Amino acid sequence: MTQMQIWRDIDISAYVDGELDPTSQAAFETALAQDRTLRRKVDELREVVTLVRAVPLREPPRNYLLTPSMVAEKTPQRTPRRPVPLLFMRLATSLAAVAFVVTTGLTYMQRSTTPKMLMHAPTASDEMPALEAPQAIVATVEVEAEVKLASEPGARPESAAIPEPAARVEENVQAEKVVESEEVVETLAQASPTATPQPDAGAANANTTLNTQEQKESPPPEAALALESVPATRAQIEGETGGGINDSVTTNGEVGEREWRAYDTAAESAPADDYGAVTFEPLQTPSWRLPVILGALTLLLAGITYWISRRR
Amino acid sequence: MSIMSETWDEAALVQRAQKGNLDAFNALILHYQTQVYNLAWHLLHDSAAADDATQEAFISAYKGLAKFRGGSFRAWLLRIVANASYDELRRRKRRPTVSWEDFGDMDDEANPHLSNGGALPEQTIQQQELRAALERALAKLPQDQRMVLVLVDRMGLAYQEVADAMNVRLGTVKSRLARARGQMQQLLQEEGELLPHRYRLNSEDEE
Repeated sequence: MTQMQIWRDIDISAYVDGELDPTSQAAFETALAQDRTLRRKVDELREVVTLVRAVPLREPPRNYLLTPSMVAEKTPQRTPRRPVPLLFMRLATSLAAVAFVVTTGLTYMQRSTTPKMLMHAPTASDEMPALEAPQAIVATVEVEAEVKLASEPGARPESAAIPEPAARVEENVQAEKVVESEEVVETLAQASPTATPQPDAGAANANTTLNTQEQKESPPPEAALALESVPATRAQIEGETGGGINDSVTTNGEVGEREWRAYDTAAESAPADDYGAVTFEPLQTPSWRLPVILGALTLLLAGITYWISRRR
Repeated sequence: MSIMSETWDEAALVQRAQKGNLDAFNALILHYQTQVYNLAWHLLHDSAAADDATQEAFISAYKGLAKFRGGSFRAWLLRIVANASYDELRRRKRRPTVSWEDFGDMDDEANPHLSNGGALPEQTIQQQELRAALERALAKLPQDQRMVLVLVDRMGLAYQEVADAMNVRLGTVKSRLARARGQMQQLLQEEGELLPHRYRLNSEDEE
C-alpha cells in the first residue's frame, strides 16, 4: 500500500493553471489517477475557473486616448535649481562680510588698549649699574633744574617740580636730618637753657609721617646707593657741603635748598653727560588698512552677486 | 488609425512611445483599456470612479514611461491602475458603501441592448444573470484575493505577471489565488439557484 501524498489546495490550483514544476506535476498526475477525492477537487476547481472566465469583461464606457493638451497640462513643474555660480558668490560675500566684521572689531580693541607713545631710556654708563639708571636720570634732570634755580638768589625749588623718586629720596634725607636735628636740639636743650628753637614738632611729625609714607613708597634699594654721597649725620653734611643745615626747620623748602646744594655738589662730581636724553617714540598701533580692504571686497562681491541674480 | 493596421508589436510601440510618440502610446491604450477598466471596476465597484481611475492611470503611465525597464507591459499598466484605484478608495473612505442595487444599474449601463427596451435573447439574459451573480460573489472576497482572481481568471495573466502587477512574491500569488477560488466556489454554491442551470456547480456529483 503506497503512502498517498497530501496535496494542498494551492497545489491543486497550480495544477489547474499548469503552474506546477515538472516533477511535482508528474507526482500529482500519478496521485490523481489513484485518488478519487483528488480528482473531484480538481474537477470542482475547474468548474469555478470556467464559470469565472465565462463572463466577458465589461466594455469601457469610452476610449481613453490621450491628447497633447491632456499630457502637457498635468506635467509637474519642477523648482528651478539655483545656478552654482550664484551660490558660490553668495557664500563668498558672506565670508567676506564676516571677516570684515571680525577684523574691524579686533582692530578697534587693539587700538583702544595699546599706549600711543613708548619711552626709550638712554643707555646707562659703565660707572653706574643699569638699574640705577632711572634714578640717575631723574637725579640728572633734577640737578639741572635746580642748578638753574640755585643760580638765582632766593630761589627756592618747588617740591612740585621735583621728580617723584628724587622727591621721596630728598624727603627721606630731610626727615632723617630733621630727626637728627631734633636729637641735637634735645641734647642742646638739656645742656643749655638757651636752646635753639625746637623744631616744629608738627612739621617734624609731618615729615616723619611723610617719611613713613614715603618709605613705603621708597625707591628701590638701588636708589639708596645714589645717596651714598649724602652724609647721614649733621657733621658730615656740614663738612662736605661747606654749608650748614639750618636746625630751625621752618620750611621744607629752606631745608630743601640746602639739600639741593649738597646734592648739587654731589652732582658736579658725577658725570651727567653719559646719561643722554630721554626719547619718545610713537608706538606702532594696529592699522585700519585690512578692515577697509575687506569692507571694499565685501561690497564688490555683493554687487556682483546682485548682478548675477538679476541677470537670470 | 494607421497604427492599428500594423502587426502588433508591443515592444516597438513601447519604444516609440518612450521617445515621445503619443500615437504609439494611444495604440497601446486601445489594446489594454478594457482590462484596465475592468480591474478598476472590480476594485471600486463604481463606473464613474473606474472611469476616472482608468484615465488617470493612462496619463500616469505615459508620463512615467521612462521608468518602464522591460518585462510585461500589461502587468506594469495594471499595477498603475491598481494604485490609482487604491488612491480613489482612500479618498472615498468617508463616502457610503455601494449597495447591491447599484450592480443592477451598472449592469444596465454596461449593456447597451437594454436601453432599447426590446426583448433580450435568453443567452443574453443568462449572461447578465451570471455576471450579476459573479460580481456579487467577487465583491464578497477580500480585496487582495479578488484582485488575484480577476487578473488570473478574468484577464488570463500568468502567475509571474500577477506577481509583478501586485508587487508580491510568486508564492503569495499562488496562495491568494487558491484561497480566492475556494471561497468563490462556496459563494457560487450559495448562489446556486440564482445561477443559470447550466452554470450551477455540481457539488453533489460524485462517482
